[in-house]
Amino acid sequence: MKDKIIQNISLYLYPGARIVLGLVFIYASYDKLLHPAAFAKIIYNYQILPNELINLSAIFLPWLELATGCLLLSGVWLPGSVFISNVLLILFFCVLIYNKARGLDISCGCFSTSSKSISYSNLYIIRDAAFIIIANYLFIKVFISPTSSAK
Amino acid sequence: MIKKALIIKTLKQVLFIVLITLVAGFVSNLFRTDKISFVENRSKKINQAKLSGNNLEISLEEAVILFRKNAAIFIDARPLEEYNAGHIKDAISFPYEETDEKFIQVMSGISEDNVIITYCDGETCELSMDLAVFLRNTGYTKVRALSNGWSVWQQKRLPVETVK
Repeated sequence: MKDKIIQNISLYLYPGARIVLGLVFIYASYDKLLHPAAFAKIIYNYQILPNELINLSAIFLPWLELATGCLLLSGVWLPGSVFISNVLLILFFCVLIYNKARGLDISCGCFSTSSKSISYSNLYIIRDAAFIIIANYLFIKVFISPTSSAK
Repeated sequence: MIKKALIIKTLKQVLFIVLITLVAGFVSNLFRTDKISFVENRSKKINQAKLSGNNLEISLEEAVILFRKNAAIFIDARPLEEYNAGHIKDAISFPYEETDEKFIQVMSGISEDNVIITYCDGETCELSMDLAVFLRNTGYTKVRALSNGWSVWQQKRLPVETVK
């Protein structure tokens, strides 16, 4: 009985994690796709990238997020999409930590292009860490211990 | 151990996803009405804004004179947490992100005739300039922005205070 429950949980955990992360990426891309200029300003505020790369990132990143989200959601090309989602989330995590360490607390811009979202960097770091756990779990399922559920 | 075939498959997929999104990004940006230029020199833009910005920026020397004479109100445009950690003595907290919510609460006691100096932190920080423009548009004509205010103020060891 107990084994069956555990089996059931693990049966739903993998597609569940995939769908949650997929939706997160699609949701995150939505506002940025609509307002590239505002997103460019947010990237600029992070003060990480050189000027030449800011607008290019603002044009390109939302599409990358959207594609990754759609692929995760549909379960197509999982190795590629899981890899990209891990890289993006870890990269963003490092940027948040770096800016936190140097005392720069600028509107996150993760889910919205409105600079009015209150910049509680700790909250963003914790939220991103939670997404990284999901992404890491998917990474393990796809790359380290592929089962029948992982293509 | 990850199989070599899986690594190659992953790399191919990543490359393809990146290529597709690059094309999607470029093509969509060419045709949309609110497109942005692919490369924009922002530092130049800021300098130009400063030069033509209706004398919006104030020098540290000038700000210090006004501070010593008690002739200006300093407004801290950074988030409240940073204001609490340390700010220019007697400065008021008015986080730029909360301008709409806090405008009446913060500005109701301040006459439009007052000289106001906004500041934030970092050479490229735009919050103080954004706040200054916002306040000018609401009728505070004597508002100025002190670029990189918090850092230069501390460097000169000018009076500061914290909120406990």
